Amino acid sequence: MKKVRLVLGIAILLVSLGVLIWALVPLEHVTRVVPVPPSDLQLPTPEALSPFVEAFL
Amino acid sequence: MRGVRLLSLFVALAVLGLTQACAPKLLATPRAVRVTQVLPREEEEPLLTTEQAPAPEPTFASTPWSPPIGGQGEGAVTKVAPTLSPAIPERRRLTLEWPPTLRVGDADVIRLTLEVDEMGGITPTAEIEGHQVRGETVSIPNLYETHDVIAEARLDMAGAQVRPQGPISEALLPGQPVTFYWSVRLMEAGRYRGTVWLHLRFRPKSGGEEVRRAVSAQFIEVEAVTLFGLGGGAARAVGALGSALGTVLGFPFVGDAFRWLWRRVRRRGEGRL
Repeated sequence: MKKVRLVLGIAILLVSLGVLIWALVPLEHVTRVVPVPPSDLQLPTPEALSPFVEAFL
Repeated sequence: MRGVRLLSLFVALAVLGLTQACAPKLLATPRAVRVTQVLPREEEEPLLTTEQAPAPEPTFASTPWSPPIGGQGEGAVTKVAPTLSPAIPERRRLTLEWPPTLRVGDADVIRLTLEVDEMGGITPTAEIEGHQVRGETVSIPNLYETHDVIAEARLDMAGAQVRPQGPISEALLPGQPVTFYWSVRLMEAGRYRGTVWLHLRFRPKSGGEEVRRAVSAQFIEVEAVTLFGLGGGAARAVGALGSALGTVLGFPFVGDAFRWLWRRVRRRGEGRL
């Protein structure tokens, strides 16, 4: 009986520790770096709007 | 003799008459610089061309029309102004960081940074998922001098709890990075796909209409996972309780130690009474 209790206790302990580690381990993060081209940092030019204006007209 | 005189007089008069008729054409001089201007119709913008003038600088945008100096047409000289649109005189890069996997019920942070690219000005390179990207340096008017620049970011992700909701705005200052944070919580297992938007708003310092421009729209995917159906919080609770129980069951001396400690606490309590 004592042996069974010992084995059961250790099994519960190991499974619980595994669950606890899964719940506490820090999550992995992914980083993506994208350069911003200079043309995207300019004021929109009238030419950029011309297709939309033509479609509207 | 008299006839010769009359004939000579006639020839002289004829030559004089012909000279007077052709004088304007003979006396006209070619113009050193000539500007031709196509007068616009009401619905058209004017076209400005130059002849015998220095070659105009390359244009990236249309120029505002200005009348030639000294009036139209003959002898007038007009300079072709630079036509580069004002822009931010910095190389910038976007850094997006997010968790590809998230435990159900747990929250994590998604970060977007618009920062100055330190490699800028020479030939900046950046890695994007194993690719090499090269940029170009362009000399353009400084946009910070004429406009207030505001960076606006937004995270759209259906089915997820995102805080803050809606767009977040930050002033973009010269040489300073701008960082946006979102807290995301996923309440059910599955794959969640979203888009991180970045806009720039240009507000003229002299007043006028604000201009908004989309700079980036980045796709992200987050997978919400469980362990045997347990989310993050439930797994932690089960793990803690199970560990305590397993320790007590698996190590009998631990139970004896707990009993000894309990008896001591009771004795102290009785002693005080």
